[in-house]
Amino acid sequence: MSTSYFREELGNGIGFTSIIDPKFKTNTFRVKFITKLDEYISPKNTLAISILCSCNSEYKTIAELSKKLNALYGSALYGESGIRGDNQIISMSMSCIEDRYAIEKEKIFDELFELFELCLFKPNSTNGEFDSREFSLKKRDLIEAVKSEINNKRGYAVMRSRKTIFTGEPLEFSVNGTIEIAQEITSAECYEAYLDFLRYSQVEVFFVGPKPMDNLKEKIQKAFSQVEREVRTKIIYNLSPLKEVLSEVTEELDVNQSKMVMALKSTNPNKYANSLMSKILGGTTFSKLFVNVREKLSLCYYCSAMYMLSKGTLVIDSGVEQSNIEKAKNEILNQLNEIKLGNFTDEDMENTVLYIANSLKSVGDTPSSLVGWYMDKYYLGEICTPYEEIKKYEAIKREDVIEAAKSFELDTVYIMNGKNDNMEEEE
Amino acid sequence: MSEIKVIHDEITGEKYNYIKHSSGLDILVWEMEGFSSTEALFGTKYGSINTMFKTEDDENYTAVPEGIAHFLEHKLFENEDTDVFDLYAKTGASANAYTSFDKTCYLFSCSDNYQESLKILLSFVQKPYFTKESVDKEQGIIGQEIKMTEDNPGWRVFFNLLKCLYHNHPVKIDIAGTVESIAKIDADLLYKCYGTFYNLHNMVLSIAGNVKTDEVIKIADELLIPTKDKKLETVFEEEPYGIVQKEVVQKMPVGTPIFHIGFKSNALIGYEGLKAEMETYVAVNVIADAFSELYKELMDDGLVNNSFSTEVFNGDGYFTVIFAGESKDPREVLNRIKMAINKAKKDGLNREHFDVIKKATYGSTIREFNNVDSVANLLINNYFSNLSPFDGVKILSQMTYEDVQSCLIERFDTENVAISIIES
Repeated sequence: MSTSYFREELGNGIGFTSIIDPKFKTNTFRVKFITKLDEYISPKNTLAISILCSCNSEYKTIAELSKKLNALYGSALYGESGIRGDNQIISMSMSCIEDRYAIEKEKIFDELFELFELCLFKPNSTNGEFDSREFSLKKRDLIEAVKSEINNKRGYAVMRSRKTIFTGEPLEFSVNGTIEIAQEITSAECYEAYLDFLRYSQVEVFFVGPKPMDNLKEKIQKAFSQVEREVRTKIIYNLSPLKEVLSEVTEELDVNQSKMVMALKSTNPNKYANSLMSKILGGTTFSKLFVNVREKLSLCYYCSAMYMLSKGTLVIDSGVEQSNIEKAKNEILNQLNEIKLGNFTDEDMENTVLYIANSLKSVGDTPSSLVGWYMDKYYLGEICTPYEEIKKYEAIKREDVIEAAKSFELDTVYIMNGKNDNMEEEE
Repeated sequence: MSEIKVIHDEITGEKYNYIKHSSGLDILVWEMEGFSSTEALFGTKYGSINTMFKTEDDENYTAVPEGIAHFLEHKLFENEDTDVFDLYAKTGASANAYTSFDKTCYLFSCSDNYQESLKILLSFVQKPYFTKESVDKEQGIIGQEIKMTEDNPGWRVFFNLLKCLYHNHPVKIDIAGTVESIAKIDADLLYKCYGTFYNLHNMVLSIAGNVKTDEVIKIADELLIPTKDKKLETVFEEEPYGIVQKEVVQKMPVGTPIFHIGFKSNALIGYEGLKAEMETYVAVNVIADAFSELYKELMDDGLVNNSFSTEVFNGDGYFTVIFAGESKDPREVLNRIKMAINKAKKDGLNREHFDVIKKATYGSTIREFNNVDSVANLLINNYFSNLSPFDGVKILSQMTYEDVQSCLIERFDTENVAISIIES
């Protein structure tokens, strides 16, 4: 058995990717809208997709829609709002078990597709506004989601640091917005944002299942023919410029463990070398940061590096005691310096490539990772299979990794100081 | 010689191999055609709740410090001569481990060289090496981990609830222990716990995906060191039916206040435990899922948001139905939940809703077979509860409305409930 992949243009800025693999027991269908990441419009889009996935003109409430989905063997229909490069990606996703498992021989996917059409093209709305009850409920959810960002301290620190790392770029903004921005959104504005992304975004549609669905392409074309499409949004990702002066920001929060996020930027065009270097530095359990900063020196509970390919930015985040922040910072930079000096073995490199290869080879094992993979590749404009990408990593030489390390310069250090940190020492 | 049995399920058509290995270890292999990756878990039935135990060699029960199972898990990754992660680095596998309430598992996932990774897994877990220096160093690392969980309101609200519900059962103890309790751990104590729980008769190997049974057996034959069954016994102090206290509130930075509400009831084990769990799962969904009257009312009155969820939390000696979420008025949420439960007890659960939830649960069971990772975990989780991975489908196919209505009466005691709140 093997996976077959096929992408075609359906016209009007709509791409359709079909991935067939007989091993799957589910059918997955996703529609992704690539649109502009904007301080004010993005939160409206986020709110709109959450309303669209909770009701429609026929199933007017979350209760009615949820009952229908449960009757379709617990099928899922949900919306997501995320970021890629300098774009916002809005998704409507569905998945269901394959028809052969239906006890009463229902055509599960066909019924689910009808629900998708209703949700995306026939929302619960009148006179250019979403239904007021559904709008109010989802608006409250959005505001409370923004308030709750503080609950996950690690994620919160990374999110706060983004404001400084990407100042002046779209990425400084969140797709959820701030409480103030979310509070100001009206139903009419939200509806208009929905119509805009439906009309003007680049659209990528994905299907992953054990066998092709009859006439799916035609069904998608027919569904989108209800809209007058004119693609205006472009894929945008620009390398993040290095600040002239290092930005150091410290905030205080009532927590036990402090957090430190460091960002380094590079213009090195060899992105696979940059990515491999970041993994050697802090992307595995045998990386320099894990082995030295965490294990040998016990400076952090976590300390890892992630390379944002579309932004040329390396983000290193760590959980650290306040008294160790300086030490941890110096040691992290020292480990990067070790790579710059070539103080890593061929084995370090080979093992890291092997680790990456192992992970890439498993992309085909879940529908979600397959969609994620091909969406990313489309976005970056270089469609290739995971196996082809492994070859690119294998071709990287030691000197490329050293050059990559040398190209990164420190741009931002964000520290979230714990008010309660070091209490034991003070006592 | 090892004995191989094919376990086949007629309802789903799925199958796996069960091997009673001559070393004393049970091995479960699920070959999944077409998948590239392999997931293996080598686990022991030893979690944070197993703080009191004895074997046939002991006269009395031994009590150990809180958090020792988790500590042992961390320490096992260091061999005498090398770090385990360095060994895995040569195979490309992604390796990890976790300790839960009732088990400790060492795992890897990979797409190539699974046999080499399996050799590493089986070898290092059988080779403990603890010294004073390495134990002292680990206390620093785990101390940081504990600090991190202290900052996690989702974790705190849950453990605060368990402390309200359970008088004696160690499920109320934080899995990593406390900075004070782990300070009592030394190398001797680690060897004692290792010798007791890491006996192959108390362990299992679960492996799924791109794997061949004969290859797994060959490696097991080569590396597993036969052990004698020491007749391990674990005990818990007797746990009364009632709860400790009705409410606990902790202050820490959160957006909207978060809450966990728990209805405690008597625990069951094995097949009966799974049956009770699934009936309770269906009941709680009929009461509180997005189609329920309760959910609509709570949403319309602004009492919960879309983070509202339910869970059946059960294991050896504990059984609790949990309602969780964010609310400006968690106490009022509790009142409304109690009212909805009492109404369902009096008038009966909505029958049509019951049918729909049952169907949805069947769908989610099928989905579990779609993924290498979930299959390997399904195997090990069920094994430690003396269950087959197909028991869930069987229970569901036989479940009646009357079963679930009886479960509602028994498992949702509105006098035996506690609420845990975290607010700024």
